[in-house]
Amino acid sequence: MKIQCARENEVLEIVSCGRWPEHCPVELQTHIGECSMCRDVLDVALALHEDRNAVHSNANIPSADLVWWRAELRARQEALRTVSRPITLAETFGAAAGIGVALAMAKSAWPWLKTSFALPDLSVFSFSQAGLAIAIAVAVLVIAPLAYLALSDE
Amino acid sequence: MRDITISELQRLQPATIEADDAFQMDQDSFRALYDRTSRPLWVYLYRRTGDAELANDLLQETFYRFLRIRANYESEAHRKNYLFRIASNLASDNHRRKHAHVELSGEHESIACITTDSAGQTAQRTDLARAMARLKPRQRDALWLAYAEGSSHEEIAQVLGVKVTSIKLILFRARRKLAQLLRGQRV
Repeated sequence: MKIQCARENEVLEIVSCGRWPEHCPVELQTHIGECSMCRDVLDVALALHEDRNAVHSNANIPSADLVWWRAELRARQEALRTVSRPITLAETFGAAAGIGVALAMAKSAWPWLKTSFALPDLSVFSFSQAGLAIAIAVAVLVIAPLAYLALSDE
Repeated sequence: MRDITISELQRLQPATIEADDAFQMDQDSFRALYDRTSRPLWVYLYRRTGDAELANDLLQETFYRFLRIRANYESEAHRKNYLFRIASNLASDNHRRKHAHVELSGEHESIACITTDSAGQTAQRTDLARAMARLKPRQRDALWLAYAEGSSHEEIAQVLGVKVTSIKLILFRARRKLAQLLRGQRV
């Protein structure tokens, strides 16, 4: 199957130079009339060329300096983010470890706290105080960093 | 994200935040390249998205990605094709994210916003937009690059990331379909 006419480029040149139909040689016009492939090329090229020129001349694009400035700003932000990522991670895990230590201390001081402040007895629950404390500590240590990483915009 | 402290800023090496070092060219070279390529790129992006604001955003992203890539370009044409390739990929990603074709009514409005020609010409372009919307994205890209930008088959192949031999067939099918649609024939 023939998918390209040998004179396609001539048709394209006539369209791109704006010479259709006034300045197109009669012989090429005759060929276009007989060749369905070149007729397709002419119709499509004319439509797209006119469309491009109309949008092209009315396009309101940002200036080179503005695009450069925005790119520069973004490159800086990305560099800063890359550098500060380990610090943020360390802070997150530090905070989670701090909460874990605080919970462990609260657990050891639980008998004293219970008598001093008349707190309710947690042994009435179906699982032990130790199990509860461990569950909370693990949840905080695992969930807090994960939640921070998921919710932060990094 | 938390704000960075002054002490952290001081610890940063100047090279890590110097944009000129992060980019593959200096500002003057960029300006020259931008003046040569931004307008056809914007028109291409606008035609792909049908939204002037989105075309602006994608143009910014295209140049940003281009600046961050340290590649060796054989020629000016190669550089331009690379820009079109980035733009094409960004437009495709955006299209996939939206999971929908360009709304023809919205496209019509956008055209009316940025052009100041007669009602007849606007109607003609709406017909073209409607016909183009019925083509596959790759067919649209190939037609636009070949007949609006005047790119060669080799250049189109570079932009679309396909073999040169495939381009001829893609163009043939797309051209025939678009011509029939523009003539109002059933396809």
